[in-house]
Amino acid sequence: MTASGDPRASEEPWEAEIGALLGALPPVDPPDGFLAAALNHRPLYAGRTMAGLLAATAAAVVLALGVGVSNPSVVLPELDAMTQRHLAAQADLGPRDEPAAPDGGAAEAELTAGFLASRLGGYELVHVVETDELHQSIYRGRDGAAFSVFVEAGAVDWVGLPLEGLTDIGGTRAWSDPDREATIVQLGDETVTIVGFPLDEIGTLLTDVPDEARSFADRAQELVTSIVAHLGYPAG
Amino acid sequence: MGVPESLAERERPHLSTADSTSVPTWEEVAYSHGRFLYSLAYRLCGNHHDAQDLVQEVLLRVRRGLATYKPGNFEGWLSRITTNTFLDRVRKQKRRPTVPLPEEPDRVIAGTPDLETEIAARDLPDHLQALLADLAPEYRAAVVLKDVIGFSYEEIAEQLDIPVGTVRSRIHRGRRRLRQALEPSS
Repeated sequence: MTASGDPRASEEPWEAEIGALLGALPPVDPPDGFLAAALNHRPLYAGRTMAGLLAATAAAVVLALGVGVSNPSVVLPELDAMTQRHLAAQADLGPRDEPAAPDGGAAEAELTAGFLASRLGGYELVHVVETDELHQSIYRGRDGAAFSVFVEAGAVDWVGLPLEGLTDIGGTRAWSDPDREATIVQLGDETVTIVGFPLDEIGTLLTDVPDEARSFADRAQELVTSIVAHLGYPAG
Repeated sequence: MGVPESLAERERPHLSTADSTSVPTWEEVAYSHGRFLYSLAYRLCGNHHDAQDLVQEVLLRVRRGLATYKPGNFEGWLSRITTNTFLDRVRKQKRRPTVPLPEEPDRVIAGTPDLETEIAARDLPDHLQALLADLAPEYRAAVVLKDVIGFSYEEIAEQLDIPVGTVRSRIHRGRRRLRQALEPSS
């Protein structure tokens, strides 16, 4: 707002009082799902007015032209595919007493580069899968439980995610699906999706993160710390 | 009575993603400014159905306008689009010309003085909103932008493309009508 002195100083007292009453009116939240529907032009609110009709028409045009779905700077994690990849990788790991070697030394290379943490709490990095679009790191705990961390270049497509999963983790926007133990956050310019994360053991991830591992390791720790704080787990 | 924090100030964390030098994406506008837009739309329209229609149309206009938007007062730009879209819709619909305030608004609440105060405080936002909705749209827009959102007279004049004196006059008259409606004797 532009500062122009105290505008109420030149107003009569009753005017300032009315202004104060109006200024105290609370913000009004849109109904759940409304913004997503408006952005995606879903027919939820369409049809009632010309604006709704225009929105539905625009949606049809967008879909027909395939516009707006291939923005490389925005990422909508494919949770079903990620879950399948996570489960497949977990099955390939074999029993806990026969730890799988990192994929072709890729994990070691990444560790050398300081990009990944070799250990997150009681979880050890056991496998790395790298494609042009996706980076998957698999961590396994002493009890054999594993989780995958997927990293994709680009910002999270928050609009494409169901609104009911949107949450706030320590002041950072996040999306979570407790049923799939999936959590999505944006760290810098990357979209990070954690699948199969045992939320009830999250506190154990807070130890043994290499001090020298900046970038992803520290960011992952920051994420985990945030999740811990969000869920009320002890941070130690 | 202290001067309350304006809606724009309360929404500052949501507005901070778009500074004066960056242009957010359409989606960022919706999620970072959605509450701000919806609050403004609701205060202007007075009901959720019209507010939803208004926000939908505003988002479409924002999407078109982002391509040519020049970094500056972003919330002012959003407010301008919202308010002008609202006034355009009112003019087209011509469904609500100036409506006089009710002669005797039903504000009599039975009970003890404390209970009366409590209930009155609880119901005040809705009551104020109802009174706002009874103002002529041009008065309502000026009052909402000034007192609810917190823009300056100059900013409102720029947004509505009218002289500052007209803005002051509309706000003064709008407040006076609200005062009359809130007076116990009315």
